[in-house]
Amino acid sequence: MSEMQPHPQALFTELDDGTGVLLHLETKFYFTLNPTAVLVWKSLGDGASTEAIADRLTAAFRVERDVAERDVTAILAEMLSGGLVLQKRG
Amino acid sequence: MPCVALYGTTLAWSCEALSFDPLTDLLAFLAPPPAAGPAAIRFTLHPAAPGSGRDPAAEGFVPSFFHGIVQAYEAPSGFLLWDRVSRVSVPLDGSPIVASIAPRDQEIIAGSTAVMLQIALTLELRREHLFHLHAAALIHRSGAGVLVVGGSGAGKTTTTLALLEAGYSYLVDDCLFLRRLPGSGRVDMLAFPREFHLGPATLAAFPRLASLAGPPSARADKRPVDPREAYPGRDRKAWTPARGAALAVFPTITDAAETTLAPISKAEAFGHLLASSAALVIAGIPNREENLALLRDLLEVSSCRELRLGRDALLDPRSVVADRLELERP
Repeated sequence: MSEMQPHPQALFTELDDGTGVLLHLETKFYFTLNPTAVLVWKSLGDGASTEAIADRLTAAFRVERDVAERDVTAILAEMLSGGLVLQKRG
Repeated sequence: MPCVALYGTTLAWSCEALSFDPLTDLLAFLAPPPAAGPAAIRFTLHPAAPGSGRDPAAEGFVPSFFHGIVQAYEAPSGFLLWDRVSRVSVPLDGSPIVASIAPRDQEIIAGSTAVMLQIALTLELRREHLFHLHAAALIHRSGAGVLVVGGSGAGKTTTTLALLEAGYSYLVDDCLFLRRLPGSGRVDMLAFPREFHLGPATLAAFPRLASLAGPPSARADKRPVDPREAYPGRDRKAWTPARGAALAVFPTITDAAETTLAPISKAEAFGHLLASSAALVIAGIPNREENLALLRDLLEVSSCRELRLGRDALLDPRSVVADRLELERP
């Protein structure tokens, strides 16, 4: 999967139980994020690559690297289908 | 010029040559400001000008959002509201809201003028850092309370009345404003006081209220009840819940026989709050980030439950709804 960046019209709110919500101002849909997806979203905001996000997930949730990579890929695919992320150019 | 106060914000209006004053009805429960001073929000109301019934889109206005029959268009620095016979210009730059109002008997949907003026007020109040939430709030004598969040037909009023019958005090049954409390930074919930509106099923579930209910409007089956008369001495203006003192309840009406109450995640709850804060998604709306932060902080002091109202809720609301929520009271 190519590298992703947050859609500028997606507003993120982090909640105190580790979950979060994305509100897409263009589509008017909102998306709930579990703590894993929250980490992915925040990492995207930092400009992290898919590989780097998987590293962060491995460290944060003590999961195997290949499991983390699969999770990141799946979450990014869902975010892409919801219009929450854009593929980086170049 | 009539004027009222809403939590430090003075609203004033003039009615030029109108046969009725729609703001007097809308703001009937609000008192005049304690001291004379400039109004932060001003309305100028006058009879509909020729062409008010014409779709503003034909004049180049771009649609922004709609609420029932009311269509809103983008306008320089604000919005133009239109209900097919009247127009309300909401400039959002400190200049007055200007309403061009058709006679009441020309409304396509009864009450649409009042809806437009309420939308205009809600938009203007965002500049005053007061943010609308479609919700009810009830306070227990312990200081804990219940926030009941949902759209029309979700069961807010049934839940509210069940808790009132159980002795709770109330802020409102469907229109709250949130603000950041100066000093402490805590979330303050403020009542926009007005009548409750009860449908036939709700009135049947609370038969005592039927004798207090006014007549239904010409095109709606809901009847107004003045909560000050139905529950004297139990109105409250504001509630600033301490951490853990609020139960946020999200009702839905179902076909199930039995009512159920279950925890939901903060993310689900936040989604419901977004859905009940419709202005948040409007392009160009002022103070969006501040509104989102208030909703987030409201959940930080709340535990969250989904209340699925079954048929039993209308048979015995006091024990089915109120007693169940009472068990969850912080």
